[in-house]
Amino acid sequence: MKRLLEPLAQIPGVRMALVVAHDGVPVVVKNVTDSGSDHSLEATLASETAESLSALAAGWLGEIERSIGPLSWNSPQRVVLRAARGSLVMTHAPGALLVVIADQRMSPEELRLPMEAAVARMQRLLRTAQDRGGRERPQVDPALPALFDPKGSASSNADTVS
Amino acid sequence: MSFVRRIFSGSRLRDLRQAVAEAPSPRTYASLAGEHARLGEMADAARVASEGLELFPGNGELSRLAERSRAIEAEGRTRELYRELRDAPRPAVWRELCEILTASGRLERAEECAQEWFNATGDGNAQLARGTARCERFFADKRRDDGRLALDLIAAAEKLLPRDQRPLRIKLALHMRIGAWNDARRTLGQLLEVEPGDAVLEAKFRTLSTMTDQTTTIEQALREVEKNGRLVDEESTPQDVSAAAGEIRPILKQMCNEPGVRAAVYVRGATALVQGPRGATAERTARAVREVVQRSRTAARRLGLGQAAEVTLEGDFGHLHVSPGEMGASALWSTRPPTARLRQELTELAALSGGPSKGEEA
Repeated sequence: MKRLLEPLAQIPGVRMALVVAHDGVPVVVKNVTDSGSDHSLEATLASETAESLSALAAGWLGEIERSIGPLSWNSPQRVVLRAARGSLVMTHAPGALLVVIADQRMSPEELRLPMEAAVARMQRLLRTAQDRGGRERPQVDPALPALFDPKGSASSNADTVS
Repeated sequence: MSFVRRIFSGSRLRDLRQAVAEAPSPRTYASLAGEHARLGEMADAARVASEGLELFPGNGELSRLAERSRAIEAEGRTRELYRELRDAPRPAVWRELCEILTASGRLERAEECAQEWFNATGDGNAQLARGTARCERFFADKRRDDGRLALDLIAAAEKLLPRDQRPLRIKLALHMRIGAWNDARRTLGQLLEVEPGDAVLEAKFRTLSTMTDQTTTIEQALREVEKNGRLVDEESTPQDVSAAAGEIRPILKQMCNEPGVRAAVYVRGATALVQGPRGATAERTARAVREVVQRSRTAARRLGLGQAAEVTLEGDFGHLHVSPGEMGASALWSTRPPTARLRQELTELAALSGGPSKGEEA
């Protein structure tokens, strides 16, 4: 999933690219300062920043939705906030939000195509996963409870067939 | 630069100087400053542009040239200082670097540099430089956390630099700009202990003594600044309020005549001017724009992005383009993305210092 954001994070001027759940929890974070050593202090600080950024971005979108609600407008598909020291661009991704923080030198418009491409990649990945899941999973009534093996993990058809 | 090119550029400079002397105009000044800049003489370019600005104040081209030349000059000096720091780090170099970075608005880098300086020497001046940079950041972004941290850093600098008036002066500026009058008076008292008999400080102290009935704490004052996005000295004067009402409505009307535009809105405080929708829809549109502006301003500050400059919402409703200004904000709701010209007009409209008179005008 992190590789989906790789092309976005590599664009010069992009500081951070995140996939955020609608409740503000970061799902995937790609920071430009990301290195191999995940245990470094910088990585910890970056993850803390990402958490607060995600919460603030999702909170702001929620506030905007509430503000435009009386006009019977649906949730905006793309939101751009350009400010003195950078920009925040947010777009709806499947089941989540794609958020990019960019430098002030970068025009948010330059991010339109790369972000749409990232969303398309996510949709494709989800479709592939669903197709694969559909092929492998036995066709059972969804109303029935799932079967669990003795180890405690959900059983798949590959485990049960002898 | 080759000898031949030097001769040619020398004669060009002579001609341009003569042109400035014979017919001083923004164009001749700009040409001379531009020539100096082309030759890499940034100090001269800035000097000529400033001289031109004295004669033709407010000229955009000359202001841009002066600012740009100064920025390039500072950039060059910054590079030299970094080189010196690598070879022989010492407080004087750190101090100059911090000052240049703070003055050029690279506040994050200034703080990093001051932190490096403090780690290396434990100098109180380093802590003061950090505090100054954070203070500037607070003035720019109006974030409560920045204000708190700036005060902490200044307090640390005060401990390390006893009987030094610089930290006290910065603290006083911060207290006064957020409207924490009691604390400002206390700081003024401290300053008067260091600088007894200073007439300006004494006059300020007397003025503040009359304002101590306002018992706003620092925390309350910082919260208020973050909420409003405005410092006490940035409050608009009441006589400005109705000045530009007459010029705003025609601009909004003109915008609404553009193809695809559904509404043009100007909001300032509790007042709104709406062109396009009518009746209850106009009121709802104005309320929505006002809320989007307020939320976005706060979000930009909290996200550490600084002052919000532009907000765009795109969806099945079309495009809502909002331009928050210092005083008011303008917005355009259209079926297609607004053109660059319309966006520019919105920014100019939001930057107008005046605004409509009180009362909802929808």
